[in-house]
Amino acid sequence: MASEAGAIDPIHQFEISKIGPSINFFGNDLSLTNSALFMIIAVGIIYFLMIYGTKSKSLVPGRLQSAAEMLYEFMADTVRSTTGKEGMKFMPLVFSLFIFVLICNMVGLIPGTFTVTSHIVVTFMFALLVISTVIIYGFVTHGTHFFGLFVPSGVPAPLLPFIVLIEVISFISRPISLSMRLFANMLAGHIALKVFAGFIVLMLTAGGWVIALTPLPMAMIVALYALELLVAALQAFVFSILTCIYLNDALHPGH
Amino acid sequence: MSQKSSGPDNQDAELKARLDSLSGAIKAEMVHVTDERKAAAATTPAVGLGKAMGTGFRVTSELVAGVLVGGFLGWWIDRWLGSSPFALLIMLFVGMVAGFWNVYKIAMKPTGPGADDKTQN
Repeated sequence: MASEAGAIDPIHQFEISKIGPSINFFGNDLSLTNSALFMIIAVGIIYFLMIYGTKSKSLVPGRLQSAAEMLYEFMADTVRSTTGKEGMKFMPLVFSLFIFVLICNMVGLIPGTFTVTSHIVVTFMFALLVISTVIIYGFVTHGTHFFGLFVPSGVPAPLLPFIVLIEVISFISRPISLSMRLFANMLAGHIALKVFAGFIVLMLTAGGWVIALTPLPMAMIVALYALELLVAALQAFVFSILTCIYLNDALHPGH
Repeated sequence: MSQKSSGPDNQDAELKARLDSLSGAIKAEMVHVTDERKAAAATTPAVGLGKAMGTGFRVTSELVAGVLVGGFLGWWIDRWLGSSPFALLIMLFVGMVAGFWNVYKIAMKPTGPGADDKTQN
């Protein structure tokens, strides 16, 4: 992490590196990277939590079963309250997104790990998945009526082109804001943690009375870490609730 | 069996009435419980804080994303029509308006099936 002359590079943690042999698939590089490895780890944790946790199916749940049930119930409540009963057919999609983002964020907070969601490629793919689901489902069920999403009712005719333009831009900005929020929060939080950790190293190497001040950035890291835990859970929640809100538009287009 | 006064029909009606009143009471209790749970969920400080912070994150990113998308579209139109920098300026402004419009919608529209009933046709 520390390169030359005690300088600390807070971006180094986001670098993608190959692990193991490089695999070439018809000219595409399909080697296992640290990002892919931590995705697999996250999926493994989710499998463990969901399958092993709900194995006993006891009436009075144990710790793991309780965690799995609470996650499921929480998400089911969110989907039901945002999209209504007919939105429950999207529950598998929303729950998968939620738990994958949540576990990736949480795993990324363990020192030394790689944060999958701190790369905009990953979060933008999630957002594209959500938006294409909205568009395809909207068109399949409502046909051209889906365009009613862009034409709010009760707007005077002279203003209509302008309003439609704004609605279209606001629709396009959905996947951007959805992916950017998650990526930027994870990136900024991890950089902030690394920068404060770097301060400790700098202060220790500076010597003299400055060493006495090292508990200050340490306390800051503890506080930031608590905030990051909250943000990690919250971003997963925000991501899934926005997925629900956008799916609600596909289910009931027209204002 | 021993009661000759109430025939089988009469007994059935009595049972039905009792069943109706019981299921009515259960339904009322369920509504009461879910209302209570909803109220508790809304007032729990942790949930309230989470919701508020979530809304905050949404608002910030909507504002930024609107400008970004507007700027990108403007830049693209400029490159296409060679009208630099007018389309960029106009679309940046429109994107900003779109961002504010999204924030306005977040602030004004309560989300949920209840809100749908009002807004839907």
